[in-house]
Amino acid sequence: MKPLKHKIDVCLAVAEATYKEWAAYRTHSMVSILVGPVFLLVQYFIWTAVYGSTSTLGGLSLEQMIRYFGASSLIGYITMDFADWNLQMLVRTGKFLTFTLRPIHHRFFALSQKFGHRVLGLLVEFIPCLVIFVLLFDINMMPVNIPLTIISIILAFFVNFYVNYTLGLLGFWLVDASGISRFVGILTSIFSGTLVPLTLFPEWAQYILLFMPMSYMGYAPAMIWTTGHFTLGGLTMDGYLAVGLQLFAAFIMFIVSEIFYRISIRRFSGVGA
Amino acid sequence: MKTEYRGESTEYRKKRHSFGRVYLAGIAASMKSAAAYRANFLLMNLFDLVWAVAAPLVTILIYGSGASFSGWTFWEVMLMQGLFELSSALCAVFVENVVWSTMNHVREGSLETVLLKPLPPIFYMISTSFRFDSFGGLLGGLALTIIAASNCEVFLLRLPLCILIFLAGFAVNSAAALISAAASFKWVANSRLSEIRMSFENFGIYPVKIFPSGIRFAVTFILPFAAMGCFPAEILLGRFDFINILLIFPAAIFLIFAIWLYNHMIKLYEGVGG
Amino acid sequence: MAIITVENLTKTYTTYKRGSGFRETVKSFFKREKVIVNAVNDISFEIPEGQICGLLGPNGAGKSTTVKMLCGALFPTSGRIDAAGFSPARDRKRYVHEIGAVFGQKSQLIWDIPPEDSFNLNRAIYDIPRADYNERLANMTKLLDVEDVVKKPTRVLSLGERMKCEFIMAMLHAPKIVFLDEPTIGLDVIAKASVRKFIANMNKEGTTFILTTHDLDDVCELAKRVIIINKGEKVFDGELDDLQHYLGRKKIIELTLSKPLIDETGLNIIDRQSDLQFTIEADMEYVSIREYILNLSSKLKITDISVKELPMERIIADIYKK
Repeated sequence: MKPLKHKIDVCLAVAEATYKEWAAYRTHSMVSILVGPVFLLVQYFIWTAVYGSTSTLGGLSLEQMIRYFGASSLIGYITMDFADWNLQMLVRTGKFLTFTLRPIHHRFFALSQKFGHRVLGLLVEFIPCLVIFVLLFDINMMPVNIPLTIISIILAFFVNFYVNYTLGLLGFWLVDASGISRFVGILTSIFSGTLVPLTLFPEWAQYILLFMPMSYMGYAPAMIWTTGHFTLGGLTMDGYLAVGLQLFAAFIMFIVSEIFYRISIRRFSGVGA
Repeated sequence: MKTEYRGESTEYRKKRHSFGRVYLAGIAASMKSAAAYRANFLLMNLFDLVWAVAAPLVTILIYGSGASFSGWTFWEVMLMQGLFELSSALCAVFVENVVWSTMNHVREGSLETVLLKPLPPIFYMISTSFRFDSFGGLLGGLALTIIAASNCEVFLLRLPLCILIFLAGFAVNSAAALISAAASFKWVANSRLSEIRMSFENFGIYPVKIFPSGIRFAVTFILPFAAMGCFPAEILLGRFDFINILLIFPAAIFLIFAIWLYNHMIKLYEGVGG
Repeated sequence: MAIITVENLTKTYTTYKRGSGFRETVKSFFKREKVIVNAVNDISFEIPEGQICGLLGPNGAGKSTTVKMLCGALFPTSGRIDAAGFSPARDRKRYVHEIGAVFGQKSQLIWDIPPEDSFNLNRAIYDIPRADYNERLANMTKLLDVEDVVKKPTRVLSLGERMKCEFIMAMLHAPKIVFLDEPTIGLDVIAKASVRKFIANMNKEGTTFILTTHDLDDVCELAKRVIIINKGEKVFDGELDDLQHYLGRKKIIELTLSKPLIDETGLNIIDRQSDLQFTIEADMEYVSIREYILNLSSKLKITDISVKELPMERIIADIYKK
């Protein structure tokens, strides 16, 4: 039990320090309180206009569509991170060295940092925006299945982290990985359903996305929040099955990040070089 | 302090004829640094090009699913979004970078080096903030506009009016960027200032008629963001409400206010520094 | 007893030649020219427990590669390292509990929060018992005179205050070996003195220090032992005092004359302040200092004379040139 207690102790200490670190910049996060509602307002009018000619789009009613966008931006506040940018910065400046001298896996450190950072996001982005959506815009944000939605968001948190951390590892291989990181960031924001629910994509694209981690980073929890189930590539799945898929995606990305971490560290510490 | 500043500004007036040359030198420097990081430069432009194609994605998917904005054909909406892209990319190339350079100068305390130059600081900042690596967006926007226009019935005779309103839209967006830059004097190192401006840009990408009258009035006559994409397209398509020409006044006032505010923040900064 | 034993340590890198132009970059995707670099070449030494050992060498000499291998951040190509009973790179996770590091240019403190909170982070990471942590923290903050400083956000601290906090950060878990890389870079005289006093104090309690620096005063004031590395090889290893004799028994003699010098033969003049003032370098290998000065005074009208040791900078520079 001692090692586990130690791990929790480390995680809490790192999260606390990160929370304090970012709390100094909480007004930056608060920009979301303006940007989030403006975004949702625009979405509200776009989709109200579009639904004038149809009653369902991609299997969603107008009410569900609005809730989907509300859920999607709220979930973003819980799951986003800078793990890629941060790790690339550590490698580029050589500060990563100070982590190899500490008895802790850097990925665990980074994950704990994300906990602290996102607790702040929960307080200054998620909750205020949720209140505005519900009380000011009068949008029904009630999840169909609350526990399942929470689990789904937590899993999306992990999938996001492992994907971004793996991107960060590119820093060991490229002089400037920021370009590729940004490119993948753009693809992720398109294919994780922040612009538009993935069911509006052509079916062949949806089928491909079923096997991509992006679908489980934002789209899956937003759909579970909105409808209680998960539709993609012509398949409609029970929420529980979807959460299972997310767990699988998180596991796969964990394995991918672990393999890539080992290869990258080998390169960093020059084994066999 | 104040009299000194005025003394400098008569100096500016004498040198006004050389502003063009300074600006060209700024562009040349930007081109050189882009050339130094060629691979990154190509990559960045490619991203902007891809992004320019991705931005109308929502509309493409809406029309692809058989839905539409009532009264607008697919290519008409594309024309509007192409013009919007163009406006937004122009701002990215010529003005937007002022936000980042101001922020960096303030954070690193190196703004003094700008104030030492025998030029109005705002002009110096703009001429050194030219961004070559946003050219991709410009190309993408232009391509989309031309392709869309060739698929619609456009009134080419109205092109001059279209350009006037388009410039007003560009002025509004640039003014918003300058205000973000001015805000970064007080709100140091806030990398999210641009997001606020971008969230307002959203009101220029879609037909303004989808918004309720209050918002419509606001984005036409108060902060005319609708002049970025929607109105220029309406003019070319012959469905523009000519009363809306009046938006050039609020647009001009907004730009003048933004320039004044930026200069004012610099003066305040000088006051603190001195 | 030796706490660090290094035997035949070697590190070679394989890098690829990279063209600067666009075409050459593209070309290098397909055909790359291998370049093998011997960063560290067959170095051996032992460091006894409780020593302060200076590791010197010009830029690119292989110093930092050696330190990285000693820290466990880099695998050696060949050779053996035993540090505190571990093979650093192989047993890294257990080994790092025993070491600490202060890199002058790589801060471990978190910029926006007080050092105290960063310390707490290391308390958790190194699993330091609360009581020990509190005691050491109180001790070190007092020693470095930063009791109030550790409560302010790191970003408002002066460079000297920050560096002192970096030392605390690196030593809270009571490491046996501490690596210092340019620990006084950019500091003012007072802060330098205080940091050096701290190092000397911790050393008295048994901590071993490995010091790499370009600041020779650091070395002179702290290290008894010096290892000099140049071009990947060990070129000197011994007591600081022996270094003085390494280049032969050279002395610096400053002379003031009453009459201008006419005959310069046999004098190695290294500086000429005026017609009447000279600095010469003299080798005492074959003549005693008494004979040398007697000889000088018979030839010249001397009004003032002072004899000095060769300054450290000269010695080091001469060794690097070899």
